[in-house]
Amino acid sequence: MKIQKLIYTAAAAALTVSSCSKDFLEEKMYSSYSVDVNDVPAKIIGLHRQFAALWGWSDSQGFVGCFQDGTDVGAPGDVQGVEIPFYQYATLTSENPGINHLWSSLYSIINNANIIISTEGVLPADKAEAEFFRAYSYNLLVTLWGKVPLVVENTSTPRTDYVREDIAKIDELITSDLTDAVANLPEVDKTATQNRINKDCARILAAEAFLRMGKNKEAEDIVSPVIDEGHYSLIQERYGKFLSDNGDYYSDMFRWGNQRRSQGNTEGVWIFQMEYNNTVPGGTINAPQQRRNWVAAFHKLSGMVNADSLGGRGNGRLRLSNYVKYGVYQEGDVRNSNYNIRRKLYYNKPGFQETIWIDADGFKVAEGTAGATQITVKTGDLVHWSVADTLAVMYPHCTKWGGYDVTDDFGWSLVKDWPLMRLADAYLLRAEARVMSGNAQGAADDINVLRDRAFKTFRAESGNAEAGKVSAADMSIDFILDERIRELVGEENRRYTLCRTGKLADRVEMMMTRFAEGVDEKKITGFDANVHTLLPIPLSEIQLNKDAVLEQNPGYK
Amino acid sequence: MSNIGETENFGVEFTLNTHNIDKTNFKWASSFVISTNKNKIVDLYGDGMDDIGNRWFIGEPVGVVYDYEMVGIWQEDEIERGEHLNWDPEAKAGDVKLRDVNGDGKITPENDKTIQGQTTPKFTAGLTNTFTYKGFTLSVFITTVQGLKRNNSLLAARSDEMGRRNFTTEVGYWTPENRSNEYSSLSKSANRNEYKYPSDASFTRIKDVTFSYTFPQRLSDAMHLGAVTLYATGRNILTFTKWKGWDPEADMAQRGFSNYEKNYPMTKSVVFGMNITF
Repeated sequence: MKIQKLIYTAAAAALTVSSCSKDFLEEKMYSSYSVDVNDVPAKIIGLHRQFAALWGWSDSQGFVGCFQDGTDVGAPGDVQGVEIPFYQYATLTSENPGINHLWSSLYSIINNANIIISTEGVLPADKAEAEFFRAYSYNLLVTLWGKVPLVVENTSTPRTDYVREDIAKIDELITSDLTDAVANLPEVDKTATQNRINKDCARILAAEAFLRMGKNKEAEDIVSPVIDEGHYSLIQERYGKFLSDNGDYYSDMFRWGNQRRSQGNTEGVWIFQMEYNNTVPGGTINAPQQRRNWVAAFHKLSGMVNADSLGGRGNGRLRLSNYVKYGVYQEGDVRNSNYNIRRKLYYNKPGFQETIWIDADGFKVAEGTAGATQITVKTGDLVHWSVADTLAVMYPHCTKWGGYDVTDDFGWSLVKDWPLMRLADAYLLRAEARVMSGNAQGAADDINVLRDRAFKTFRAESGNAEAGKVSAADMSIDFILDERIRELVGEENRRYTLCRTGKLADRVEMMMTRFAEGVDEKKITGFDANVHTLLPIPLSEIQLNKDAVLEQNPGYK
Repeated sequence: MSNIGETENFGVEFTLNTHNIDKTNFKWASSFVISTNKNKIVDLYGDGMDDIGNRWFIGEPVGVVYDYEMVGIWQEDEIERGEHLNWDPEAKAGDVKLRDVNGDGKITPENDKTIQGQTTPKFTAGLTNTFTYKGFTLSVFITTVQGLKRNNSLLAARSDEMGRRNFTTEVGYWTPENRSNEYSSLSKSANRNEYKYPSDASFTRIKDVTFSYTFPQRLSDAMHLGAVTLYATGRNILTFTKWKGWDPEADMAQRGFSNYEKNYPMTKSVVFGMNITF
C-alpha cells in the first residue's frame, strides 16, 4: 500500500498546481513499475532488503519489544515507547507506529513479490523465492490481524477499495505459494549465495503455517525432510573463530563471524547476513536495534566498559520475563549457561577498585545501610548491582543479539547476522505437529534430540546420563511452547508464536497471576482476550481506503 | 494519473520602494514586500467528502496539521478527583491532556483529531532599509513569516539522547513540583497518543546586515587603486520566535528516522572583507 501513497503524493503535487492551464497537466509516463524479466534478480534482492528494513527499523527503537513484551517471554525494561501498549494493553490504538510499520512493510513486500510472480518468463526458482516472501507476509498478517485484504496482482494504479478477505482464502494462497516454493527453491548449498532462500526455509515456514491452520499431518510431512535429508546437524562442539574466548558450543552459534554455514554453523537454515556499511555499501540496512533491546545496559555500572566478549553496549529496553528467568530452565541446560542467559558479570574496567556496601542478597545498597556489609571490589570480581538496576541496567539477559563494533562504541546499529531459522526449529515444529496429532512418543523423541545437545556437558560432568530427558507423558502444547522459549528465546517472534497457537490469552493470564512483575508500571495490564489476540488495523489504512470499508478488529477505536 | 480534485488560489503581493531621505551626504531608502496566498480545496473526487486519510479537507488549505488539540497537562489533583475517568481513563499525572472532541469519554485517533492549523504561512513580508552617509552604507534586511504550524519533533521526542540534543532543560517538563500545564512529564507513556506537538512556526528574523565603507576616490587614487571598500556582513543575526528548538526553519528529525543524519541547525555567519578594484 506504499505504492498507493506514492501515487497519492504525486497526485497531491499535481493538485497544488491545478490553477495552471489544463494541458500543463497532460503527462507522459516514462516509466512505470516494470515487469521486465531481466529485473527479476535485482527485485529478489530487493525483497531481502525490505525484509531487513522491516525488522531492522530504528525509527521507533522499541519495535523489537512489541513482539516480546506483554507475552510470557518479555518484560519492559528502559522502554522507548512504541512497545508500551503491548503490555499496557488498554492503551493500544490503531495509530501505534509499530503496527503501521509492520502492516505497511508486509504489504510492500507482498506487492513487490506479486510483481515478480506475475512477470512473464520468470524462472521457477526466482518465482519460488518471491512466493516464499509473499507467504511469509500473509502468514504473519493473518496470524496477527485475522482477516486481511488479499492482493495477488501487481498494484499499478491506486486502489481505495480494499476489503478483508476470509482467512481460508488467504490460507489457500499461502499453501499454494509454499507448496510451489518447496518444489522449486534450490536445496541448501545450491542457492546462488548462502544468504538466499533455500528449500528448507520454505519447509519450516510451511510447517508453521500448517500448524496454525490445524493441518498437523501436513506440517509434520513438510518439515521432516529438513531433519531427515541430513544437510544440517545440531552444534555439539565448540567451533569457529572464538575458540580462545570463554563460551560454549551453544553460544558459538550466535557470535558474528560464526553464524554462517560457511563459517561452521551446521545448524543454520536461514541466516540473514549483515556487513559493515564501510566495507559493503548497504551492508547493514537501517539500524537494527536488537542488541539495544535485548542486552542489558550494564555499561552504566561503574567498573564496566563495553567489550566484544560481553556483546557491546545494550540499552536494556527489553528484559526477560520472570517466567523465563525463574520458570523454565532445569539445572544443567547449556541454553541457560551464563554465556547464553547472562546472570553474572565480572568487573572488566582495567585497574578498577571501589568500596561498596551490599545487602544479604548481594545487592548494592547505600553506604551505612543497616545490616549491609562493606566490601572492596576490583577488576575481575563479581559485579554487584542495586535492586533498582534490575529494571534496566543489569538483569539476566539473552546474549544472542550481542555484538560489538569497534568503530561504534556507543552502539547504535547492530551489525550482525540474524539467526532466523535453524535445525532446532524443525525439531520443535515436528514435535508440535506430533503432539497435536497425538503422537506423544514421536514428539518426545524429537525433543530429546534437542535435550541430548542441551545437556551434553552436564551429563558428562555429573554422570547423570538421564539429565534433561523427556518422556511421552511430558508432551503437551504447553511443553512445546516452553521448550521453544528454552531453545529460541530472543530468536522467535513470541507474539506471533502465541497467536499462531492460540495461546496468547492463556500465557498472559499466567503471567498476570503467577509471574507478574514486581513494579506496577512494568506489569501486564488491560488485556482483554476478546480484543488483544488480534492487532488493530492501522487507522490510516482504513481512512485512505475511501471506496470500501476496511473493518476494524473488534474493540479498537 | 488523473486529477482528483480542485483547488482555489488567491494571492496578493505588494512592493513599496521609498526614498525616505535623499540628501547629498545622507540617504535612507526602504523596500518593503508583503505577500499573502490563500489556497483551499474546493472539491475532491466530486463527492463532497473529505479525504481524512490524505489529510485533505474541503474548504481548507491543501497542507493542514490534523491532530489532537492539547488542552493542558494532567495534574495530580485532577487524577485524584477522577476527572480523567470519563475523558482519558489511562491518563496519569504529567500526561498530555487532549481534548475529547466527540465527548465519548476516551481519546481515540478516529474521533478526537481536528485541524490545528496550516503548514504554509498566511503571509510573509520583508523589509530592507539602506542608509548611506558619505562613504558608509548600512543595509538591514528583516524578514517575517507568519501564520503556519509545524510539528515539533523535539517536544514530541522528549529526550536529550544522552546529551546529543541541546535545549531540553529550557522546556521545563512537568514534575510533581513543576506543575507545567504546557509540557508533559518525561515518562515514556506521557504522550502515548503520539500527539505531534504542532507548534507556531512563525518568526521574524534579521536576515542580513551589511555595513561597508568605501574609501574616498582621492585616497584610492593615491594608492593607485580603482576603488577600495571595507565591509562586514552578517547573516541570520537575530530571530524572534515562539518556536522551541534550533530554529523554526531547521529540520530536526528524531534519531533513527529517515534523514536524521542530515539534521542541521540554522547557521549564523559574520564575514569581514575588502573589495579592491584595480
